[in-house]
Parts: sequence; structure tokens; C-alpha cells
Amino acid sequence: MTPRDWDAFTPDDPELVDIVGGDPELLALGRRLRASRPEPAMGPHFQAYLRARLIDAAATELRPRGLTRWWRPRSGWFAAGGAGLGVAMAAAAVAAITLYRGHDVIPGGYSPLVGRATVDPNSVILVSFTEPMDQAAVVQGLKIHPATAYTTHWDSSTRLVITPVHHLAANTPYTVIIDHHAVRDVRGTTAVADVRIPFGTAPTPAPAPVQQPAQPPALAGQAVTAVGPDSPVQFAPDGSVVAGAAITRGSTSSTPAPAAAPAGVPGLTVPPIPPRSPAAATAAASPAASGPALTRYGADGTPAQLGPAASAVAYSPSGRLIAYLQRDGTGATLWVAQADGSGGARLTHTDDASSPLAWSGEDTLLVVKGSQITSIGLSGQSHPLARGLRLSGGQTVAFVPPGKLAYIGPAAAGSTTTASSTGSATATPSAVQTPQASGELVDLATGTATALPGSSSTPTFSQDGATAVWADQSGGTPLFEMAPTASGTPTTLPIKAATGDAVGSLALSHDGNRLAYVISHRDGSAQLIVAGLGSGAVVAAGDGAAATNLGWAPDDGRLAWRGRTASGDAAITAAMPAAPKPTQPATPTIPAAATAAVDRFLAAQASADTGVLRELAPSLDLGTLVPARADPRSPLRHYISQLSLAADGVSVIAHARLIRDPSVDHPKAAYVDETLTLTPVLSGYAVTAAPPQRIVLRDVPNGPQVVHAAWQHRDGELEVQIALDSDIDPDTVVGALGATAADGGLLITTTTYDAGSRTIDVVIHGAPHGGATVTIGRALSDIDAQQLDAPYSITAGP
Amino acid sequence: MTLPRAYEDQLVERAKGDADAFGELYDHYFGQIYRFVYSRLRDQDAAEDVTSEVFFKALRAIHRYRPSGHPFSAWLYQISVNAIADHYRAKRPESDLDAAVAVATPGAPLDERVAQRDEAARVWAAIDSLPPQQRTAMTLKLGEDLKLAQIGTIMGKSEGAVKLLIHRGMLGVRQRLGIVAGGETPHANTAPSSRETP
Repeated sequence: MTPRDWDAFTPDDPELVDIVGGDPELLALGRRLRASRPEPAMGPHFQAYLRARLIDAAATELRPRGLTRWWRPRSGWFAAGGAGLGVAMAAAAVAAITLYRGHDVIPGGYSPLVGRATVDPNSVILVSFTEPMDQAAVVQGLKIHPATAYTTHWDSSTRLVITPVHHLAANTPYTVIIDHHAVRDVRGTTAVADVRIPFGTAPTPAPAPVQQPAQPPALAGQAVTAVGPDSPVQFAPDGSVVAGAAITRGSTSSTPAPAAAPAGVPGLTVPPIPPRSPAAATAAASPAASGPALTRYGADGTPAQLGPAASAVAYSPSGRLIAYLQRDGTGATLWVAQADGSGGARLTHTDDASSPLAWSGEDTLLVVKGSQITSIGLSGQSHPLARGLRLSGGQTVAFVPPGKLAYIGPAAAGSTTTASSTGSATATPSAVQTPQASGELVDLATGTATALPGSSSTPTFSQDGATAVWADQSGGTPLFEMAPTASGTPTTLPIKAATGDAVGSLALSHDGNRLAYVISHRDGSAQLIVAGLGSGAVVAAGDGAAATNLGWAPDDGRLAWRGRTASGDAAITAAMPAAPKPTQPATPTIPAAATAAVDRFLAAQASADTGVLRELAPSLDLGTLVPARADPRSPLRHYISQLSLAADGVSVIAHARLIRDPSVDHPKAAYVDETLTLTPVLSGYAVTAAPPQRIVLRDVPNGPQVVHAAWQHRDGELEVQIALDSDIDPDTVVGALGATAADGGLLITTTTYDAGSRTIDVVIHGAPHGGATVTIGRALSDIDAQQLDAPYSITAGP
Repeated sequence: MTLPRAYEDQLVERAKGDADAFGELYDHYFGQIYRFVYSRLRDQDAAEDVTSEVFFKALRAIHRYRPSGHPFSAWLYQISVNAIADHYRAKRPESDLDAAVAVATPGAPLDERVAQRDEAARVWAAIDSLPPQQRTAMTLKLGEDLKLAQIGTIMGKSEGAVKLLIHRGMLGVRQRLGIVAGGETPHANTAPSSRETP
């Protein structure tokens, strides 16, 4: 390189440009210095020589200090419940491998979860790779143990995001394995070893069966008014209901419908609406003298007409103005008026009769016009948005508050235009855009798009527009996803649907805590469901036949929708039922002192705390209570799988498990189950019976494991719930379950499997005297076709 | 290649008790540390001595290292800056111009090598004549392409202070190369400074 070449060969350092400001000579000098920086001269063997000396020195420099520290147990390892014990393994557990084979870099992968024992069960699993990867190959070679259903996506060429469909089980050791043949980079180079990501999940919340009310509170819908076809139903900012009621103008005590456009909207600070041609305005503004009209129903049910029948309606952010679209033979006319319907003015006409409608600020409206998303000012001026994006046929469009984004659904060939009054509609067929598999959020200013994976129907958005919730129905079972609208990793919500169900009409409450939706089952029935966003629990349910246009009242106390009644379509509202009181389990209550004693005893076993063991089990052989542990670097943790009262009614029987999480050195988790008997003593409870032999951990077998079991009497029936650590193949559940009475007779049961909580629910009808034994046979399989290691039994209800 | 932070943290933690892990850190960071040291000293023997000292100091002190949110390399650079200062304290540099002659890339055409050698010698010798802190900041920015924030971490200074050091360093180099508005004078002063202080 000659001294004059540096400009061409050395790109500018932006920070250096900033430092030298506008001085071109200093900038040129900077380029010159960077272009001519000295290449270091070095002896040919210096690097290897120094390395050898360092490694020799490290053997003496590091071992006395390092290994002493390494082997010395720290108090922090033995936190309550043993939950934090595995953290110490992090230093030893490294799943990243980067090697050099000749001049080729061999790819490797790692995860920040490696060695952690308190991973939040709601976490996603991130795997970073050292090289851009062959993404299909990596996903193909991915396995999670215990068997866990998951979805994957790549947020860069080197980072894989694994999202468990039903979250991770709590208090469970996990290993994510990617076969080394599948760890293949884009150049085809494969890893030399499997990527192994061992970690454990936090012990709370326990994977206990979730007690769901047998019947969630019913949504008691009340018809507000009959509505015309395709009429909107929604709440006004004051909580009144706005609907396209099938009433005549003369039957109301309301303000008149828009007549000729006025010169402005008196009393408002918005820009004045310019006058239109009187003839045109009058012609366009004359609603039908009778028939459906846009009507507001106050708290006492009194109707007040706002305008003619409309296909869409939207209140301005301040609530002072109302805009609506009035259909005609060639499309729809956009009107704006004061909130009470007075002072209406015609703004524009769109050729899209199903255009959605929304406000962007107080002075701009958004519609679809000429197959383009268009802003309409209050003075009538229009501008195409999203850099002139043209919509293709059948694409659903919905505006995201506060009007900066729009959702555009995937193109559907041959679709027909359908009406909607929830701010969404299907665009007229004039496709030029490449169809996409999922809907997208489009920035109306820049036209940039962000995919909402799997979305095919209109999402719902939080009030601030920052969060989107949608149904991913790309698989057999609908999943509810949530993500920031500013792009981000979708989170699968714990709301459940069954395979074959169809989900639609989503509506997120204003407080963002509840989701209302309509779920259509394979048998043709439909339910309107309200579920907690965080828990997934159904908090209310009602008839969802033909229900659309779901919307929440401003205080989230009521829900409105358009539904079907015996006399036809109607606007319906329902008050949200109060939260049900928790049911009292019929199962005898286990004293808290007993639970605490079991927990303390297990923690002492895990940490080999002989002092506590001696205190809690003074009558037992201490030598049998401390488990044989192969590796002091792999501390144990524990959980209680079942507690019950003994036959004497005062002693407590505990079934528990000690587990050692997998690590790089010990890739399989190990465990031991034990049954303890606790008896009341003056100071609380003492352990009076434990396994007679010293307990020894064994490797966790492949296949599902029972992690919790419980039973209760309810409504004259005996209900047994068994939680597992793996996602179960639901087709194997019923065949694997059996229940027998105390006399050995077979019992009639109803068995269901809740994938969300990985819980099998067995209802034994008739609550047999003397209790029942429920057994799960080895035929139970997880989603990876791995069977239960050994039959499991629980005796309940004597 | 930059190590992922989480992995680097794990590796450093392991290296406190595991020679192989320390070796892995060495493999990863040797190149950039040696290049930085060499840029400052531009003497092969001195650079090898100082680089050895840097990694032995790191080995002896790694048990005290605590992740601070900065890359591990920042810690190694800090040790390097100190080791270079120690080197200069112990021994004043000899002719930097002579040392600079060794920077030509072997195998390049003769006329190009000569031009390259002369260019590197002239401009980098001008950097050597700067005050020590300007020299360190200039070398880390122009020789290593580090970010201002990283340089600030290494030198224990704010980003603003680092910017000022580099700006003044640029002005100093321009003056020493005899660059005046519109060109450069034929008899620039490229004599290196004869002192280095920490």
C-alpha cells in the first residue's frame, strides 16, 4: 500500500470522526495512522513457548488456591430447599466448544442456563453458537429431557430460541442435547461433541395439580338491542354501549343524525372541517329515515342516535369526536361528528366498504382506501401511509393504538370481503404484495414490517399499543402468543385450547390481565371464554355462538359483543363475574409444622447436615439417612411429591425425592425416592420412619416421571391428580390408568390430561368406601414415545 | 472473535482453578495483547518480554478477578499498560525508528515494502513522541480499534477524557509530522520522545 492508498482501504472509525470533528486533515491523518499501523513481529515459537510455561506455572499457581476453593462446600450451595445448590456447578458445566481443525473453525454452542439450578420455569432456552448455523439441521437434532414440547425460532444466525409450549416443569432437572452431527454451521462443518445444556428449574411454583373450578363462572349475557347485519358493537369512552341498532330515527329521543355538513365543529379545538359542496354533502349525508342506526345506550338503557347505520365507528383519543363509516353502493363514506353525534361532517369516501377505522391523534383518521392504508385529516386531505404499501386481496387490516402501526394479515386467495366493526376488515382484492405466511405489524411511517409468527387472524392489542396478543393456529393446537409490538420474542401464554379448536375475536382487557376470545370446537359448539393472561385459568365462560366484536368496558367490568339470540343478532353485554372463592379441599389438612419438618429434614439430607438429621430423627440410624453421593461438587436438592395423613390420623406420610441435576461431567440427573413417617412430638414433628438402607441415587431413567400426586373428595366423588415432569402423549393416558377399590374391584373413572400443567386428573365416581388405588401403567408415554419407567400407584380417600 | 460474555465469565471462573481453562483464555487473547504491546514498544524482544509478564501477572492475579461488566480483555489491557510503563521505567527505548523498520510485511514487493516501512516508521514514531497517556490512548484507538468506553475502562478515565487525549494526540502527531494546512513540510520532526512515565 502506498501512502496515498489509505483513504481507499481504511474505513473510518465513527468515534474517530467524532473526535476530529470537521477537521479533514486530522481525519486523513487518522486514516493514515490506521492504515500504516505496524504488524507485530514475533518469534515463530514464542506463542507456544509462552503457553507451555504458563500451563506449567498454572499447575502450581492455581491448584493450591483454586482447587481448595473448588472442593470446599460453601454455605450458599445449601440454601433452603437445596434450590440454589446447583449454581455452584456452573463453573464446571460449560457446554461451549470451539476448536480449530486445521484452519477450519469447528462450531460449538453454549447456553447461559448451563449449570443453573434455579431457572425460572417460564424461561425460554437460549442457545448461542460460535458460527452462523445450518438452522434446520440444528433444530432437527434438538432433544429436551424430560420430554418437552417446544417451538423454536432464530433471532440471529447464531442464536436459537427454544420456547417450551407449556413452560418448563418446576423443580425439575433438564438436559437439552443437540447431537453433534446436527451442530453444523453454514459451511457444513460439524461439531466434535454434542452440545449439552444441563440445568434445573426453580422449586416454586411446584408442579402441583392446579385446582380448577369444575365449571367456571358463567357470563350472563343480556341483549342490549337487536343489531343490523355487520353493525359494530362496542363501548363508548363513558361506558355506554354503541351499536348499529335496528331502530328508526323517530323512535329515539336522541340528537339528529348528520345532515348537511357544517362549516366546523363548534366548541372544539380541532382543526375546522371545511365545507363541502352543499349538494354533495346533503346527498351523502342523508341517512335512511328508518332502519338500523348507530345508537348509543346509556347506563339506564336509554338509546341516543348518533348517526346512520355504520360499518365501523371510532372515538377520538379524547372522546370528544366520533368517526364512522357509512356504507353505500360503491364503498363507504367517512363521517366525523361530535361525540353525541351532532355537527357531523363528511370527510371522504373510500372504495373499501369493509375498511377499518381508527384515530391517530385528535386530527387524523386511518382508513383503507384504494387498497392503501390512508390517513385522512379533519380538513379532508388524504395521504397514503406505510410508503404506499398496497394491500393484496383478502388481507385483514387492523390499526394498533395509538395509530402508528397496522396489523396486516396474510393474503388469502379467493377470499371474500367481510365486514367488521372492530377496526379490522379484509381489503379489496388488488394484490401486488408477496403473500406472507403470518400476519405482520407494519410501521405506518416507515413501512417496515415485523412478523407475528403464526398469526392469521386479527390480534388484540394493549391500550398503549405496546403489546400484541394473537392466536397461532399454524399447528394442530392453537397457541396464544404475546409479544411487544416493537418487535421481540413472542411468549406463549398458558391459555389452553384443544387440538382442532379454532380461536377468534380476541380482546385484551384494558388492564392487560385478561383475554376474552371465542373458541369454536370441532363439534360445532362455541364458547366465549375469559382467561387470566398470566395463569391461563378460565375466569368466566359463556355461549360463544356467532359471537364477534368482543370489547371491554373502560373499567373492564363488562364485556360487549355481537352475538346470536333466539330473535336474531343482538348487541350483548355481560358483567364480569366476581372471582370465585377458593374451594376448600376435602383432603385432610396437613399441619404446617409437619410440612416444615419434612422440608428441613430433606434439606439436611441433601447437605449431609448430620446435626439437623440427628435433631429431627433421633431414633433413626444416622448412617442410613445421609445419601451416598458420588460427587461432592454436585449438590442435591429435593421436593416433596406427596403428603398425607397416616391411618392414625395424626402421623404424616411424606413421599419425597432427592435429585442431583445433570452436569457436563454427569449428563444424567440422578435421584432417589424415599417415604418418611413423621410423628408429632413436643417440639413439632420427628421423623420416625425412613428407608432402612442407606439411600443411593440412581440415574433418572428416560421417560416421564411423577413429580406430585394429590387427592380430594369433591361433590361426592374422589378426584386424584397426578403431575408429571414430561409432556405426555395424550392418547396413552386413558389406557395407562386404572383404579381399583380396596376390595380389588375395578372402579369407573373419568380421566383427563391437562397439557398445560402436565397433570392427569382421575375422577372416581361414587367415592368408594375404603378409598381407591389409582395406578399408572408403563403404557404411559411422553411425546418422544418414552414410557414410564415403572408403574406408579397412589392410594386415595380411605 | 469476541467470546460471548456469559461464556467468558464461566471460562474465567474456571480458569481460577483450571490450567486448561486459563490456557483457553490465553489462546483467545494472546494475539490482541501481543499486538497492543508490540504497537507500543515496536521491538520484538521487548514485546515478547512484556507480553510474557502480562500473562504471568494475569495468572497470579486471576483469583482476585471479579467480573465488572467489562470484557476480560479490558483487565488484560490494564495489566499491559502497567507492564509497558514498568518496561519504560526500567529501560529507556533505543531507536524507535530502527525498530520500526521491522514492520514491513515479508513477501511484499520491495518498493512497496520500503514505502510501507517508511510510512509506518514515520507516523508511528510520531506517536511515540507523545506524552504517555496520549500515546496509550492513541495506540488503543488507532492500533487496536477499541471503543472509547473500552479505552476509558482500561485507562481508568471517562470517555470524554479519552476523547480529549486522542484529539490532543492527533494534533501532536500532526505537528510532529510537520503537517500544516494544505500539506506537510519536507523536514518533519519525527524524533521520538526519550522518556516514558507511567
